[in-house]
Amino acid sequence: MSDVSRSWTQFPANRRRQVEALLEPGESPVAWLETDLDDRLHYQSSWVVVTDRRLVGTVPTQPGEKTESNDRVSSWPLAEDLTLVMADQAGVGSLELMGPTARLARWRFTVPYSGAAGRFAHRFEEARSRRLGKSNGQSTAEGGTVCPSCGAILTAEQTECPACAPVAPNPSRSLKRLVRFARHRQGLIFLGFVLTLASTAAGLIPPYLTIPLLDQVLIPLQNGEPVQEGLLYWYLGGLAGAAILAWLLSWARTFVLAYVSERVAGDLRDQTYAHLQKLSLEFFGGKRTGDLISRVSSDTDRICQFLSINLVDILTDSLMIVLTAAILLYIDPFLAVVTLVPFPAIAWLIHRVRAKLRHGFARGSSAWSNMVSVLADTIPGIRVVKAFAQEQREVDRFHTANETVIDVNVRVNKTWAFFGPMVTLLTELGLLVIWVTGAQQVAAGRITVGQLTAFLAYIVRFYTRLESMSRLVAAVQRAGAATHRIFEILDRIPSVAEPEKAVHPGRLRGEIELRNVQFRYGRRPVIKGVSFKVAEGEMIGLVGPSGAGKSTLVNLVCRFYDVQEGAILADGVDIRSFPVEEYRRNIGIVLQDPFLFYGSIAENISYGRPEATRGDIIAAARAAHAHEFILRLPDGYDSLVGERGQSLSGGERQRISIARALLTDPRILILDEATSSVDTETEREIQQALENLIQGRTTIAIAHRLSTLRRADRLVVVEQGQVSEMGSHDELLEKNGAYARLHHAQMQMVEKVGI
Amino acid sequence: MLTHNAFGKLVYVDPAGVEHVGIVPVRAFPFSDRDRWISLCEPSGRELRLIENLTELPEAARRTLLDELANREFVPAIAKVFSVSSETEPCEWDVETDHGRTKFVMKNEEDIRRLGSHGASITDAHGLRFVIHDMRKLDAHSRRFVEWYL
Repeated sequence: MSDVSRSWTQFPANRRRQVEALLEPGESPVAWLETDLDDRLHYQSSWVVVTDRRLVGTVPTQPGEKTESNDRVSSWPLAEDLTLVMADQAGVGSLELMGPTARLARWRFTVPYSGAAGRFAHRFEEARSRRLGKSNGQSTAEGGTVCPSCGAILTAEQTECPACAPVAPNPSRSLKRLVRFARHRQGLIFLGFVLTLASTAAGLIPPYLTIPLLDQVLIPLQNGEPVQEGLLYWYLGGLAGAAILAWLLSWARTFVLAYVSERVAGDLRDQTYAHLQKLSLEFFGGKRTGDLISRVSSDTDRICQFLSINLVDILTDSLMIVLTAAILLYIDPFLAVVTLVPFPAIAWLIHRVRAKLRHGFARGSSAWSNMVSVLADTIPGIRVVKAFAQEQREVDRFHTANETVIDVNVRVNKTWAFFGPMVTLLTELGLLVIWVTGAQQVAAGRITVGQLTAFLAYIVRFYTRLESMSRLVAAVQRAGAATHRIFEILDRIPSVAEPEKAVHPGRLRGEIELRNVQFRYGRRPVIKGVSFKVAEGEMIGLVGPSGAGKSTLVNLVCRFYDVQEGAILADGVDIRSFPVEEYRRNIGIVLQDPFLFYGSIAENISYGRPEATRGDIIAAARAAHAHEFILRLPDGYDSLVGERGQSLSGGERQRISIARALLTDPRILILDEATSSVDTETEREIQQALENLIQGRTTIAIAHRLSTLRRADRLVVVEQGQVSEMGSHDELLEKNGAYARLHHAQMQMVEKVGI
Repeated sequence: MLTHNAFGKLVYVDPAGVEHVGIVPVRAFPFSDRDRWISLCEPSGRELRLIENLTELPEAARRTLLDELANREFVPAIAKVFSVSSETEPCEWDVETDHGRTKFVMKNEEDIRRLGSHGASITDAHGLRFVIHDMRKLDAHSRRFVEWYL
């Protein structure tokens, strides 16, 4: 009861009052559902509530009726022949109330609400059973927490709702986040900063020395006054000394900061790649290979350049501006103020251009990786391009991508080109102002010529710094855009999340259970409620028409994706409680199209267990009936295979991947059989290899071969995301249902084509 | 020939007189040829009839079919964009559509693309698609947001 009252308070207050006003004495609400669409698919919320006696909910208003704050509400007493049916199409779900002869009502909603709708339908069933006296007193507890935005239930392990998308934080924080990476290099960074400060200060000494040099030595000399000779040499010596000191310090500073930035960029690359490995398959499906490669390599490179070259410049320049301004104010406040007046105008210009440039550079980066993606697409698939004679089309496609890159860059450069000369003009005007005012001040006797010269020397430096700073604006924008793209990867929550309180699986026995598993790709429901158990050591075959969801089930068992509703348990424990890596180590996979990495055959076989001995590798290869053909290759087990290496036939690659699985000795085996046939000799070898593999392991096979089907202890027939039949090959044939049909169709094909 | 029964399901009576309940109509070319090539399928996916042109059907059947199609497709057309929460993705769009006012989250810049010469399509974080039939017909404020990405 406390469970219900807690969720009842989450129902919006005005609706609650509306419902409570309608309740009869003694009637109490059991569950509620609010949806975001009305019956005509308009964005108007509608709601339905189940009480212990009735179902109460909004119904569409008749045309001509006015609706104010009160929705038109109807109610139906809970009865035997009343059912709630959930349906789903094209991203719109519906909950339909069916009576004995007609549909009574319908509530519609978008995808995010379907989880809540399903749970509501469940509570309705319970309430109805209780009402009719058929209840068994059980009520499913709602464990875990509810996502506040979409209502999906989160298990205790999930910290972020997988169905909602978090909205982006302030973009300019991207650069500041680099600080996090820099933190454990902070000793060196601090040293670099100190050196920067010192070298900048050293660089500011010479102009200051010109004041006495002019006023006390040179001008009197010009006027014919007597001057101590030593003084001249003293000041000149000072100038030389300051120059040497500045040079030494800036050399040290450049070295230290360059080293640190290489390190930080390297750390960033490492972390990004490591995180990329943790992200689920769906992330890789979305982002194209070219884009990802570009991010890890060139975006981090841009950041490194930014840190080592540009950041240093920014630091130096800012320091110089601050110190210079201080010195100027000290010499002559009035003149200093007059000089520094143009500064705000330039700062404002910089600020305005900042957003435009950053956007432009992000577009440039995007357009570039788009172009690279075209290359990554067509070059590996060159066989298909040629077979279908589509070379010209591919050339055109690349040309379009290329043109976009040029367009975007031209647009950005236009902005950038305007920017530079504008700053120069302002600088020149600024200097002019100083000459005029300065002359006045000297004439009025308020400052000396020496001071004015020093002033000008500082100002010229000041303005050149400002000019180069404006060039840095572009560099900062580029780095900002690159940093954002890197953090986009790092911010991605692996949708297969690590559990907070992990349970260590160790070596599993191999019992698997699927409990009411539901899964959708995007908005397309693929698995609509699958439940079955696989005992330890049992072999089951998944059969069904293509697209039924067999591969998806297998992906879910391997935890490449997480189920959206329901659970998968291994040895009675929800697999989401295990650390992903430890769980996957218990699983071996043999896929339809085995992927071999660029390396030797030995390395490929021992991929899952790099510490295996050569004896182990040979034993695995022998059991996989691969040993013989490997020996026939020119370099034996050291032959390089993979994209750039020795090419192997399909059957040979199959057997190597079987050996790979054998070596890891997993308790659970996933077999995705190739549909294409090989010659009978190879077929027999592969069958024997598989037999060795399957022995004593819990096996889930997507089966096509008759031999596999017969060998399986049980067959699970999957149609349209649901289990339609289960049993052994012979049992199912006897049943003469879906499986029998599939089987006969395949047999006919085999006869006809003579496979 | 084509009617809705009391349970709201589409019923098709084929030339042989057999009644099929719960028929699913599917547009074979939802973008390039919306009013032609509409397939009537059983719930299991098997096609019962391919209608080349809607004009083949009598008035009442055509209206029923179009009704059912409209009920099955939910692709709101954006008429106005009030605001977009940030310049970088993921961002939240506040829009007015032909189904009313709503907000949705766009996960990344690849989810918005051109449709034909003047249209655009945006897919939200849940996979729902929003369409803009003609960008030129949007007001300047709304157009700015869309053009930012295209």
